[in-house]
Amino acid sequence: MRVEIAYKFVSGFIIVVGSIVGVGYVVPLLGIAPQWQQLFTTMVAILTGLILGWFFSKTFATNIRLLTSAAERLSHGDLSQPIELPPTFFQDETHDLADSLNSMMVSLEELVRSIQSNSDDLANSALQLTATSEQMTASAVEVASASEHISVGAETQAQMVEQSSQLIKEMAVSTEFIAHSAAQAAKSANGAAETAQQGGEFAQANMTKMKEVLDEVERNNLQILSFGEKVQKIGTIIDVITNIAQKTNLLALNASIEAVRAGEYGRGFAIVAEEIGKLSDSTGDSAGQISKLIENIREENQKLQDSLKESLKKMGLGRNAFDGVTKSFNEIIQAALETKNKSETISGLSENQKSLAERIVGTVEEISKVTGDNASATVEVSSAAEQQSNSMQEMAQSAVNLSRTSEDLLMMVSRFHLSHTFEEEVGGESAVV
Amino acid sequence: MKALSFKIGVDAFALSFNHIQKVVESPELNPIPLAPSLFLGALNFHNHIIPILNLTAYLDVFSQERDSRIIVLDLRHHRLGLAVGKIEGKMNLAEIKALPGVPSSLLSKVSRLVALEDGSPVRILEPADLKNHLTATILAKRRRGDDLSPSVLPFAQQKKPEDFSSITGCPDLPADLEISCNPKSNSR
Repeated sequence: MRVEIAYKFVSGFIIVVGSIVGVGYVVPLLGIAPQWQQLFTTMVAILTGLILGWFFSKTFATNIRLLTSAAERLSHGDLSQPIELPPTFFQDETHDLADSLNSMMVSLEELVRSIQSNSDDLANSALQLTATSEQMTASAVEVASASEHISVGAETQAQMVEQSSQLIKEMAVSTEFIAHSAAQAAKSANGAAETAQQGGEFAQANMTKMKEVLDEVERNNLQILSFGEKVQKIGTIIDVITNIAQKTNLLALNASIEAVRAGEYGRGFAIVAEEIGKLSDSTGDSAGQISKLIENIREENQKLQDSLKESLKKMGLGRNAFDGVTKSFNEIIQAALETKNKSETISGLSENQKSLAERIVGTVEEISKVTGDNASATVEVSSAAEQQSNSMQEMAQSAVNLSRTSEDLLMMVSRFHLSHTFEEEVGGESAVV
Repeated sequence: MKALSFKIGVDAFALSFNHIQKVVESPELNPIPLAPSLFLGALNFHNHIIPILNLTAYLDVFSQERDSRIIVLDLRHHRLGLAVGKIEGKMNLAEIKALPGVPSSLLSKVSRLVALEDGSPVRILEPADLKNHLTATILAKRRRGDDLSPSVLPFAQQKKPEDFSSITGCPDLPADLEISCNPKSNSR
């Protein structure tokens, strides 16, 4: 039954007062002199008051002492012994205080347990966090280094892409020039084909004329041969005439001889023989001149024939050459047409290449832009990595501090002596951790 | 005096028409067996066998030139054909002037050196002197025992065709031919 201290004092007072009153009623019954009755009653009241006071004081002081002792232990962190007040039927505020202190001790114990457990966890986590932050710092450093490399590579890549873009632009210009040149080549090839065609036709016409000239020359050669034969015949006739003239001259000579041998009778005959001799001489001279002329004509004719033969031979070679020229012109025409087709194909391909090159230039410019962005992003990544590294270092430092804090906290809570059960539990968990 | 001019080598000769029977074209000459090289062969002149003397060789003149015509000399009872270098034609020996020659030379023995009106030298061939000298030469060679056939002297002793056939080795010749050992002559 709970009775507050104040009620206990009131109850004691009432008991004291009641004892006084009751003793006053009892004393006369006890036969105590009246003059002693007052004293007795007073004495009984004082005694009762002392007994009750002693009893109450002793109980209260014991409880207070126990509470003080418990508080003293509690102040030293000893939470291992709960406060156990002596049992009484009338519990008061000391019991409440003891209960509260016990509850506080339990709470403190739970708190210490929790703090210890959390401190351990925190220490472990701090350790892990430190390790992780160190790893992250190392990773961040690596990331920063890699980002720096990437940044440098990105810059190099950007420069290469710029150079590639420039080269591709130059290639595009060259391709355009090739396309233009191919178009010009196709045009020139077409012109060459047309010129070759005209040349072939001209050569064909010349060939026809050359054949006509050759035929004409062959006819002339035949005529010259016929003329030579006629001249030969004339020469033969002249030879006959010359022979006749020689014979006539010889005859005239013999006639003169006979006339001389005939003496006076042969004088007229000698004159005739003389005239015949002159005629034969004249005939011989004329025949000789004609023979010389014929010989000259024959030589000239022979030269002309030789020249004609040489001309025919050369014209035959010229005909072969013309045939070769015509064939060459045909081959040139074919080659020019093939060149034209190939040039047109090259021109088309060059146009396609030009378009592709322009697209490549656009793509390379995009790549260059992306590369630039990548370089910038890489720089940012590098900066972020450095910041992250710094943060990780700070975090590691914080983890170290946290570990120290947890250690301090454990140190602080280590002065609390917990119940064995808890220590065993904490020890088991620490062992597990 | 009318004469026939001809050349042997560089020397000019003249021969009086009085000594010339005829000038004929040289036909195919018939070789005379065993005759000296001075004689080129024999010529059938109007059915008379006439030996042809190479005058260039006889006069010992070095010259390859030879006219195709043969001068037939009339030596009264004999005829002799002369092959010369080149027959020039007729010439007149009206005003000539004798020139001194070399007496001991062969040319001087068979000809006389004269100068024409224009002063050019000409040797007038003397057929009689030529005949005598040639006869003397051949006889001298015969006396020395040189292998000379009698046929080499036809102009000294003219032979009949029958006799000449024995020389040529053609015994069955027709009687109307003086010399016909040449196959062409036979074919004619």
